[in-house]
Amino acid sequence: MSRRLELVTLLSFVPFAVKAAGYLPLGSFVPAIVWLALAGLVVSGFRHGEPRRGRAVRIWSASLVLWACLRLGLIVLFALAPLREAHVESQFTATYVAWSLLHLAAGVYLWRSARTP
Amino acid sequence: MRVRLESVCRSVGWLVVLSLAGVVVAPATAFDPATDSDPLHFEIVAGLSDPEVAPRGLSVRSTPEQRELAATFLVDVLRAGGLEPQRHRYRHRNANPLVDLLLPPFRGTNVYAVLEATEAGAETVIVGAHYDSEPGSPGAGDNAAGVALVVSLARELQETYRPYRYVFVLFDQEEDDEIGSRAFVRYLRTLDWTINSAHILDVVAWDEDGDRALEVQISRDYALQAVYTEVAAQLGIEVTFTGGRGASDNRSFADAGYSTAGLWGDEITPHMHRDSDTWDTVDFGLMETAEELLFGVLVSLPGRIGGSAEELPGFGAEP
Repeated sequence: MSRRLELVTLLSFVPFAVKAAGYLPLGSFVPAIVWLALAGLVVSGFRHGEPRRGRAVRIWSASLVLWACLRLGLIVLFALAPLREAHVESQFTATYVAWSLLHLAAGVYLWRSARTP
Repeated sequence: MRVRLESVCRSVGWLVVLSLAGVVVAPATAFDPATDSDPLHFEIVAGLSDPEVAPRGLSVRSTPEQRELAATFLVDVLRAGGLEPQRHRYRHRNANPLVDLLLPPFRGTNVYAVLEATEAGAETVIVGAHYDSEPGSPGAGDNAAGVALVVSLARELQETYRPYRYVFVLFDQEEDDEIGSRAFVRYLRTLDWTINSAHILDVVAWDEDGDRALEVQISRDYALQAVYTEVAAQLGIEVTFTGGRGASDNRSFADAGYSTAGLWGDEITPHMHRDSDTWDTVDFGLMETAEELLFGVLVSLPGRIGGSAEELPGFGAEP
């Protein structure tokens, strides 16, 4: 597995670590639990080598793709359904879309790279 | 042709004369909130909801930028009244923990001012209303009217003997699951204050039948209900009581175990959450009635809160 793949995997974990840490003082533990579970899976995969490493990266990349698609799907949902949630709607900025697309691209890249021997 | 012209001119002349007579004779029945109501009420209700009346560019108060503008406006209004406003900036998790995975937390700003009690060691009374509005709605009735009443009460209580410390708070993000007031309750718990009771105003705006009646939602405090009943009777104000956890920011205080009253008109405005919720649909007379009642309650609280249901005849049943 290439150094670049390892770097992208590591970098893709950072924003979620920040998010999890930010939610802890607010009494929300779900982001931290999910992050710890996935990070543990990937670290364990990297320690055991192939094929567990590739499988762990694929699970993480699938999670990234799912996360990005859900965020983009929210925009579509709010555009089509008569929903009014000021907090959610105010998130739908160019930054929000760019951030989602970046994670989607990272997820696709990791998925494809992890499948390549 | 000449005959027809003369006839037309004569008709027009009569119309002008009759119209002038009508203007002079007819009583001025149109309600002008700018002159007929408390000018402060109008200044705040219109200032928060109509950019043509107040040059702040404020109308809808739902996006973070709009709410920040509104908070600044309210800080200025409170400061102009001689109070020392504070901004309580908060972050709050989403209502559903799974949403925390996708979206950032709520961010907002409650604006509050504290009027210390005349004597030290007093308990604290909270008086609040939310200032945000639904997307697309100017929210004059929901809830610029409530905000105006809180500010007005703060100015009134400045001039009197104060048996309690009064905290006047304008909540952000009530329309998003009362996030602002929940954050404020969390903040209150970090302070060394004993909370006597919380009184929350919302949608004091519509009175189609003209009876000036109000609804008070009491959360399991018979003594608080007794105070409202007594003051309303003294002032001749019709009040209907309801129970339950709360239908507005009063829910945040009731859930935290505080004695809480939610106060609003007994009729729901048909403009609520719509783009038609403008200041000209607000019943400023009803606002004055609500202010009168709540002022009476706030100065009648001493020695009443904390009484048990048994001590208060007629309040044995849960409201």
